[in-house]
Amino acid sequence: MYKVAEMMRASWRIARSYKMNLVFSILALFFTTIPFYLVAHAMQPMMGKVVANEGGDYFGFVLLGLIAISLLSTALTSVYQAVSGSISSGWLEAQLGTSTSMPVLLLGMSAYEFLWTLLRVTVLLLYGWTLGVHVHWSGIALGLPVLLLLCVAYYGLGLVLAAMYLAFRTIGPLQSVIVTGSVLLGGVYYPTTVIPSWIQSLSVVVPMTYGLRATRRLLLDGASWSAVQTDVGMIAAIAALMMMLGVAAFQLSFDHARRRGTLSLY
Amino acid sequence: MISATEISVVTPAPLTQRPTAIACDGLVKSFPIRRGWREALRAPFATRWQLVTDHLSCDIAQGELFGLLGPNGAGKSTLMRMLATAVLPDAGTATIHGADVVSDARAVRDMIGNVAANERAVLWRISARDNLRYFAALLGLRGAARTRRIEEVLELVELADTGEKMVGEFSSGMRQRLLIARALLGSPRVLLLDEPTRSLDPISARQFRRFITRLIREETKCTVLLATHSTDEAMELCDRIGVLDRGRLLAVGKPTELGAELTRNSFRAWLGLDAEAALDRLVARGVVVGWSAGPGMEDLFREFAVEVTDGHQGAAELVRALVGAGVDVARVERVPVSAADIIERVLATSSGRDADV
Repeated sequence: MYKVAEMMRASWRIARSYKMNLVFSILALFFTTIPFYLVAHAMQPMMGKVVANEGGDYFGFVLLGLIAISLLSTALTSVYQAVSGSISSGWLEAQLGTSTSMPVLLLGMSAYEFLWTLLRVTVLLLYGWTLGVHVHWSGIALGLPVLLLLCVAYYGLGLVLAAMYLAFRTIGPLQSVIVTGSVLLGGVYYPTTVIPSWIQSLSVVVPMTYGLRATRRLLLDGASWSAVQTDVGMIAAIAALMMMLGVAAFQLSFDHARRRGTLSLY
Repeated sequence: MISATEISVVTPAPLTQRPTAIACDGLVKSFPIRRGWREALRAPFATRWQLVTDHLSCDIAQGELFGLLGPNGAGKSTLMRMLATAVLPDAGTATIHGADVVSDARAVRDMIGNVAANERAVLWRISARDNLRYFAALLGLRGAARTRRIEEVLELVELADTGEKMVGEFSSGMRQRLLIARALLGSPRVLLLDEPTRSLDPISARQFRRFITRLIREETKCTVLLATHSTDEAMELCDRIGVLDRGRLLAVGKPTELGAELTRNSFRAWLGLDAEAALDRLVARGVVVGWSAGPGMEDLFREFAVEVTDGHQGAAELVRALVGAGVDVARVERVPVSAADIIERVLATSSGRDADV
């Protein structure tokens, strides 16, 4: 953990050297949320019944969707971006030249992004609360681990993206496919129950479906553990599967890059 | 007139009495060749390979500063990266102080300091001290020991005064020194320097070489493998030089020996203007292998490049024969070899041998 902490410290120092970017990334939260607030309120009469099982407040529903999307994006892209950014400069190879293990390096390279995203989504949640979202704070203790499992699942997919980049120097449209698929099929802006049945069957393989539904029920509806345990079980299983897939893909790709000598080529 | 094929390639010099730090035995590495669209479409799964390291064997003694000299694409960086465990060899073995670079990579990483060729391989938006702190953590250094070591290496590379400055504001030379400081953090037993002066102007490069000499000879005393295509750098810094081309180690020797061996039969003679006919006769007698008129002209003497058969003995015989033939001899001296000549001659010799085969 000490190594990860030092890597995070360096990332923080780099991030704070871009002062305007740091300020704007927080300020942007307040401005980008306003349109969602207004639209959600306009649509509340229609959507209130649809999201009744997940709190009944459509703005709260969307707000948690936005939070999940932020976490998904970071989990999916942090490793891939760290790897792609450090290959061309030789930074990745330099770090691999130390005896620090690969999992620690990967965690360290993406840890700051996670913490920063966590801070931003916390601000977003508090902002939503001040705008009238009824948050069941008692559900936080269970809601946070569920969101963490959601992150783990997408982190596994992020490892697959990083593996693809190591092997092919491109990830093609995979990142867009995953993000768009998760948004459309995972119930970010509407519950999965409203999408056509033939597409709905696809949503059962999207981690977002289970993670987001469980989180909403815990935080917006005040649901008990027993009410969400099926969803939590599913997201836990998917997270384990995705991580295994990601680790295996990355290890394969890393070995391939060492054989081909492409760890520092771009 | 001077035939390169007749210059013998130096065979690997015997090891010094010191124990071996780096041992390479039959290292082979090939990389796939990038293909054009047409070829890729015609045979999507076919791969053509380029041999980058061709059964390379060498031993480097502890405390030795060994230079790998060769043109671009010779295989220098690939060898360095195999030793740094970043590239896996296809065949052969390499060990650092007995630890295998494949099966014992972690132990190898603990023993080496790798100075990358790319000066972007540092974090530009933070200070030199923070860069070193980051790497010290990866090396497992903590607390007061870490702080002490960071200050030590900053002193060593003469960056202590600028340690708080953002690396992006450093000059290329300062960044190179930072890379060395980073490599020295873990007190490595072997330092790998891959073209450290590549991005430096000539004056900075000379300063940097002085700095390296002082650092290695007086301060750290670790084994150094220096890859460079600057012959001056190799000549100035190294105890021994290995000339590498197309993945093959063509010659190994001390800089002076290497030059002397390759030019042991090459002499520059200042002879009377009527020497040409006499030189032709000496060629026919076998005293002289070949000759060519040089550009120099001094009073009544002209410069000739003459190739004899037996080093100084051959030169003595040349003088006797020329005097006997009535040719005025002002002076005869061994050709001072430039470093560039060494590479050219080794490569030419190698090509000649290949052609003979």
